[in-house]
Amino acid sequence: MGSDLPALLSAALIGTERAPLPTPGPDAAGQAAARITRGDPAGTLLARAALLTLAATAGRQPDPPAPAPTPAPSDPRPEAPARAARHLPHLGGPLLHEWLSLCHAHGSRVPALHLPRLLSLATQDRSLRVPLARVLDERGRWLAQHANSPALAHAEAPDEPTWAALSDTDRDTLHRVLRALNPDTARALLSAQFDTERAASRKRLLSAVLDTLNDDDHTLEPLLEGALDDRSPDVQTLARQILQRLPRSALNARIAEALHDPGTPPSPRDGLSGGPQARLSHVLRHAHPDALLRATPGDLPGLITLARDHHLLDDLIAGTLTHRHQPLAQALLPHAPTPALRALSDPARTLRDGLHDRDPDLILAALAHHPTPWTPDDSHAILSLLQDTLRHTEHPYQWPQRWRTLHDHAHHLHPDTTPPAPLPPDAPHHAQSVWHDLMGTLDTRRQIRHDFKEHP
Amino acid sequence: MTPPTDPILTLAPDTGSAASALKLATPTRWPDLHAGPTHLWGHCQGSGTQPYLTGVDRSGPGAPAFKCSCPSRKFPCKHALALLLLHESHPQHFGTDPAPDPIRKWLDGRAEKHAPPESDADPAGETRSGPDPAAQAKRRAAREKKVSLGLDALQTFLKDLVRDGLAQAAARPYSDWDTQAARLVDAQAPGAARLVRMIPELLPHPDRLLAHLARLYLLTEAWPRRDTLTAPQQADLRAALGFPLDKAATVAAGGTDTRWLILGHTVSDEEQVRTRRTWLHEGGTTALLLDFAAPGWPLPPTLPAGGSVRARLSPAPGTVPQRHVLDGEATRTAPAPLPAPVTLDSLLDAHGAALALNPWLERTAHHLGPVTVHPPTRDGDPWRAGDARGSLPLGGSDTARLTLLALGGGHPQTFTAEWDGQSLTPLCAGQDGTLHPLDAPENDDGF
Repeated sequence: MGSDLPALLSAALIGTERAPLPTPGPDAAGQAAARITRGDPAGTLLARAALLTLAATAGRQPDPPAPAPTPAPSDPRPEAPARAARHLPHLGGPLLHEWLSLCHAHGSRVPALHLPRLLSLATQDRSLRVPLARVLDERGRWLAQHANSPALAHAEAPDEPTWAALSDTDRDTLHRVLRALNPDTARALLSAQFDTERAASRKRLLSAVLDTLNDDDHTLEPLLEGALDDRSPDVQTLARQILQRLPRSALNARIAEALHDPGTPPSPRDGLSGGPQARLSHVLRHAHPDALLRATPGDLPGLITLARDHHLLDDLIAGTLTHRHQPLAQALLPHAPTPALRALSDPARTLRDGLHDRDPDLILAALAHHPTPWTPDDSHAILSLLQDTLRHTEHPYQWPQRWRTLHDHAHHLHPDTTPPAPLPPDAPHHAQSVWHDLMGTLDTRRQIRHDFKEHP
Repeated sequence: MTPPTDPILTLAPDTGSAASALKLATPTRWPDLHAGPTHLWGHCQGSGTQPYLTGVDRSGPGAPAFKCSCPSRKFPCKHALALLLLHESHPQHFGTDPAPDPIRKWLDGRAEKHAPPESDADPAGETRSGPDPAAQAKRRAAREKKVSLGLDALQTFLKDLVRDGLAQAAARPYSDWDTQAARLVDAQAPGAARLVRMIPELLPHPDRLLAHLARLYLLTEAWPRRDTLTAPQQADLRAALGFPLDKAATVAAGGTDTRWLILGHTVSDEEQVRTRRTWLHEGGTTALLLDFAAPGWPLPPTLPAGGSVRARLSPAPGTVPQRHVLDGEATRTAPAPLPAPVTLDSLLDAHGAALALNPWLERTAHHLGPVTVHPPTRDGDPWRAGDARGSLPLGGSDTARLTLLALGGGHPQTFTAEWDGQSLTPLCAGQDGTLHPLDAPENDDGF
């Protein structure tokens, strides 16, 4: 503002009825303003203000320099090929996940132009955060600091004040990101921070461990044993679940001892409570099958006989499925040929049977144990079956729920699947529309893969 | 939001349509695809009983033009966009069958409409009568009288505001501003009405409020003295008051047929109208094209931000040759080189010089650089763009600012921006000698 403008503004705010017009200053603008007079003070004020505000705008100088941001470190990885990146603005859901995975596999990073949108999407969709973190690289992490995504700004454990400044949600995200990018650092961070966290945060941190558990997490056993005595029952439960999933954990060894010793005293800390039958039920349902087999002299048949003799076969089956223990599933199959056990014991054969029998339950159960994307042959067979069941469908709910569920998993179809012949022209509109969407999506996925492959 | 990078997708009315078009741009959805010398047509299997018949005319003014039998109200619809995309990506799938009747008739109609006008002489040899000059003068006098009355009332209103004190203005009911704006619309001064409607948003900023009211007041003082102004100054005044531009006369006055670089565009929604400002640059000229649409109606197809077109643009009369009118069609060309970037000092100098000629000029566009984008270090601080001499506030959307920051990585960079005297609105980022649009309108739904 020019030197006379503040005085003019004060008068304007108070009103010329109560405030006198300020005397123009001696500078050139003030003298020019002094020559402007109108029949009334309000008109004079407005006319002078027009001159002075225009002069101020026209003569504006830049504001003082602002503190410059620390520049982003240079990126070790190249940007994803432009041909592949062109798809990004239009992708969401499973296709975006697939793009991010391909980018990671390609050893590339997200081009800078697309970072803001992806960071914004990740604030709304938590499932995107880890896949995105893998391909952010230095520029992306640097930008995350400024884009209100602090949890995505780190590939290493943050310092104490930074960690303390994060919300529970951001700590959870950062922990999950580190578990994916740098698992040793994540475990060290957990060990360092766990005891000082609030119960809700402790629960989130252990949930992340449970969701992404691997064999190396045995090093967390002391922390988890301690968490069995946590003040929060939820934290205790989570710690117990994690220890049960670690085949060589001391907890598994302790509760497996109860298999053959009905006199083992109850231990609520280890989840053993109630009478001997209830405790045995708990052990069969929750202890890792490897620990049970180590404690059972007769190996697989001995364990099954024990469960059957105590009428606890269902518990053993539930435990087998929870821990995805294939040898035990195979041994249990003659006793309980359920789709889930069949699928776990021999996924490939179960899928063949399911496709042959057109049994969606069996197919879905088998696919749960298949790596994704499914093989081109399996994908073709599934696609053919979907088409066959779809072809007379006139509205969404006419298509049975289980087929719709299978269709919901269609993003696992192999992009190089040979598609079946198109639907006949007399197929209902709904069927045509679903089919065309399916084919269009496959086509897009094929194109994205091609773009990554062909443009190194 | 990230803008569509495919030039075809910049024609989409929103990013939802762009995403849908991409989904449809696969030959499996199109039982028929055909291309003529200047047109495309095809059948697209949608959810209807019959496939939709879609056509694109790539000739004539306003090309490409679209026609589709789908019920979509969006224009162009996803089918038309998909047809264009397909022709780019899968030209081998296009046959050469003649277009079916509905498309044929539409193409013929367009060709006829855009055929060169016949001579003014009718078959009998008599010249058709033009507009009656006397009637025109009468209408003009009537309008000017209305404007005079409206601006007199506005001047009284502004003086009342200042007499009572601007501190009291915030306590006024909204109807005060609405009523005043409505009177100016009735007085056929819609430009002044628009400025009055902006007052409520300036109430929390007294310094900006006073500047805005003072500029309005200047309008009320300039109008009665219009006869003392030069013709370009009168044109500035009329434009500020919202007198419609005589596009035919502007075009007739001649223009420049050359390659223009599109610096970017912004879209603003006001109560009655949606306005798109498209900034173009060539040599030393920065041209502004304005497009308007009523609420709920799509804007005309946009020129591709960051791209280049060959077009004839004619400058509207005025002291600063800023607003231009597109004469005929714009066709995509090879990218034009970027103009030399200017420092913040030079930007302010250029803006000030323009303002000295036209006090009602609202904004100017520039290619800036090298400048560094500064995110705020404290809550409530503005983003800034800075160079060695200082900094200016950086407005625009969060996405646009973050995209600039992502591209620059905290290093000096160049970008195009509008300057409105208060803040910079970024338009396109400069990278590797090309411009990248920073904003996409509306939805950002993926699929």
